[in-house]
Amino acid sequence: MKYTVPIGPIHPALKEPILLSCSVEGEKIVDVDVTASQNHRGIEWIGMNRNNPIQTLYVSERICGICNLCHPACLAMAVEEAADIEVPERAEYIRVIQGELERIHSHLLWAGVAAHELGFDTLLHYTWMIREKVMDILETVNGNRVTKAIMTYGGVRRDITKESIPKIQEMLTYYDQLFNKLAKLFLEDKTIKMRTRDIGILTKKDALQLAAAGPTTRASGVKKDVRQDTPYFAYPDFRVKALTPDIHTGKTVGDTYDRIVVRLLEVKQSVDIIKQALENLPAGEIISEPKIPKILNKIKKTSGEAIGRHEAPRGEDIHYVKLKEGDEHLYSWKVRAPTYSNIMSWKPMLLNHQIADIPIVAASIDPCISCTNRVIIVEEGSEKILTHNDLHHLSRKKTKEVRK
Amino acid sequence: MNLEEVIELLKGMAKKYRIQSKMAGVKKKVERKSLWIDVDRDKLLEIVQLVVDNSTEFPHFCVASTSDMGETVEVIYHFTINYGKPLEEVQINFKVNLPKKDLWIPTLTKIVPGTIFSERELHEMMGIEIKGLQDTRHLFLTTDFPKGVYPWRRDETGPKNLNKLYEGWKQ
Amino acid sequence: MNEELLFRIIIGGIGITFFSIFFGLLFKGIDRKIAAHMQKRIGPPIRQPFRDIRKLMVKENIVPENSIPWLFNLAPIICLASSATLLFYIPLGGYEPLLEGHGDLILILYLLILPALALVMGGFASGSPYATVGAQREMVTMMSYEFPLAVVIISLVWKLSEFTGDAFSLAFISAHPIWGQVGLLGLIGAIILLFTLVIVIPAELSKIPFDVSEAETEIAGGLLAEYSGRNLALFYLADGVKTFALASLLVALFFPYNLSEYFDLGTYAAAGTDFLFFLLKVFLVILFSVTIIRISVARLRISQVVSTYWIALTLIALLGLVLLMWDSQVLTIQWW
Repeated sequence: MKYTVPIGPIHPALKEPILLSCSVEGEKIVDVDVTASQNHRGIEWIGMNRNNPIQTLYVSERICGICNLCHPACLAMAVEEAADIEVPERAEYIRVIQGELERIHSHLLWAGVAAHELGFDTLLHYTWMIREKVMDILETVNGNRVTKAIMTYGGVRRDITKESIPKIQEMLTYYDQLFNKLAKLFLEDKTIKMRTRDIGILTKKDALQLAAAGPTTRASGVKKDVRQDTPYFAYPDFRVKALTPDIHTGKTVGDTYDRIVVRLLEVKQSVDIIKQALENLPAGEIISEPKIPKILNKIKKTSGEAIGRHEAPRGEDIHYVKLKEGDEHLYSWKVRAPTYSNIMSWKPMLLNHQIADIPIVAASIDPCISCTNRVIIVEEGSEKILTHNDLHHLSRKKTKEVRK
Repeated sequence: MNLEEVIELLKGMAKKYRIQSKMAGVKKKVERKSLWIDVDRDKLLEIVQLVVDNSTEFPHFCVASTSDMGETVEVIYHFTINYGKPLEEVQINFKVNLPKKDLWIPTLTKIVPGTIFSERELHEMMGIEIKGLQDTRHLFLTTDFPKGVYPWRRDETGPKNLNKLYEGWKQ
Repeated sequence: MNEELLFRIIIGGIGITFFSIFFGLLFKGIDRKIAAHMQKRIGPPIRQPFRDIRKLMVKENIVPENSIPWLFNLAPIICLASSATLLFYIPLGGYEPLLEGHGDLILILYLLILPALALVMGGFASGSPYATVGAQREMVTMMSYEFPLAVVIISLVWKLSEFTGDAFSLAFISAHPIWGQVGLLGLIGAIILLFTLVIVIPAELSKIPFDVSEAETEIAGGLLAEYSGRNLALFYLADGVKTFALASLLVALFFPYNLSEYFDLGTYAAAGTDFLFFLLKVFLVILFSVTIIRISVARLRISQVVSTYWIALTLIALLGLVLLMWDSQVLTIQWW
């Protein structure tokens, strides 16, 4: 007898609202259907019809809480290519450092969430305690624990000062020493192996045809990594390689256990990249054109289109931007967050499994549903539409309050 | 296949093409190139099949984006091939121009199964009819979204009066 | 005689119920505090479960539309009542059981099924898919752990049936602790049986790694998903009482020693010492079988729970039984 178990929109296993209807017979799942229309915010429409490009940069940061560097990075890359804006060398290195800090933070958070889905709360508390170190560094460098607000067209907004460099290096040694212990806790625990080995297998053929991205597809043996294939910012200097699980365990199965392996290996890789970047940090300015109205004028006068791709912690993030001369907004803006493609792989992963496997399999692709659900209509509760002046006023007022 | 070989292969079927590039890197400079090809609607399936057959691994489909250009609607499919080898990836973008009076496009799901989400989104956001698509439910918009309103259009079918779009909304 | 029995039942019953509720909640609080310190946190204060009960009692009691109301409201009451009834037949604090002579180990085995059955009834009567899945899992878990439990009980009783007297009665078992009656082989067998019973207890109480029926992250609370307010408070109390009852059962079966035999104390001091020693033993049992196991492993799936009990633990328990049987044969042979 078949009945449907709804996972979501509000469920303890999901961190954001999405509806996953699983048809089950007994405890075996026979069909999976994803309905993603639970919570849209209309961000692309705002970018196309209401905001000028600098405001769009801040709106794109709010697409998601955790992946808050990858969306402004892609947008800045695309607009810089279309409008031909130069970026100084120091800014490129700082962008790389910020991107890798975000990756460490996101992977440690995911490791805790995966342990919680398995019922292993001790590991959740331990991993999140380790994560506090990287959040302290984020606060020292950016002023805020999670949202960075560091990207802008033509460079970055804040510099890494001399005082914060020893603190960053202390954090790197701390993680270096802890990596082996973390690997042992996650990868050699008997109950975790029982719950994740051979569960949620995504074959290499499925991963290729469904166009999955990021650690989801690297765990199945596909070596896709934007930092390796089409490097951007300062990544050509680092020679980044895509990591697959056979580096650590010797074989690639494509199950949930392999995804844990890939993410832990990437944390180690990010620590090495930041170390190398700090040693070679060039001196110089951090932004090529500090006056914002000049940049806006330059963007207003250009016509062109470009794509920007960035390797977010969850996969490949791509933005497409089309600019038209004389138009103050972006003419066309399409955002495709990595979870958009990874969600399609939930169906082959979950078939013929039990209900108990749904949370860990769903969490193993590291879903960031807020990145996915952000399409057109603005749901405004109030009548008044804020004009450009009002927004500018409000943001100046807030900055004064924050500075006190 | 690298960039030149791709151009040789697809030159016959394309209306026109251009290459766009930007420099990246600090100590070691590389050039990031992307290829933009204009294709006719009837040749779209053929050209995608050609790319699938001739690449070593299955091509990576990123997303399908679209713009409203007044009389026509432009749809762009973004692909990449040759990933896995450093600095050898080729970014290919197929651009199709569709007249607004005759707005349909054939489905790519039989060749590349990963396009299903993009095609559902094109259908609900821009009003393009995808011939051959089985699953035409709304992807991101709710089921009670008013019919005939297409959010990405800039003509009269675009959303107006945002506060009154849903019935039963209070101010 | 009848009036005396009635008097004992009513007054003793009320007394034991309140006593077990108080100590059940107290041990629950201590368990949470120790688990938190093992996870490098501070954790809630020890009187937190009492505050939880007080808060739950004043909250609104929602009965879902799809449910069967009389069954939905009856299930928590049956659960609490049957858990408290268990304690009438178990020796507490060094004294004989309250209803000595009117019930023995077989009755306890049957009474242990009732709270789990009440949970299942409540789950099926809730009318929600999460509760249905949770109730199905609880039934399967119940069927799995009954077999090793029965093997343990039967082995102990069989060994002690060599003496005259009713071997099934708990007062008798407490008077003849198993450790004094066995040789070397039997000692190993008895340790194996003790280990089995320690692993059966988390499944009866629905604690990690065997809490598939109340999994928070998988089925949003499972059986108890639709319960709130006073009904949930009753289930919470029943959980505390059941913990206390099961731990006392294990103490009565395997460690029924009294401290006051070794010291010369007056009657009141002796009674107090016995009582405190009993509480200490119960606390140690809860520590090892609930707390330490709960925080060191992840949750198992239902198929893994069933295979753990039917295959692994049953074989271990049968091994213990066989060792106990051989022990008496070897002792009687007298081959020296």
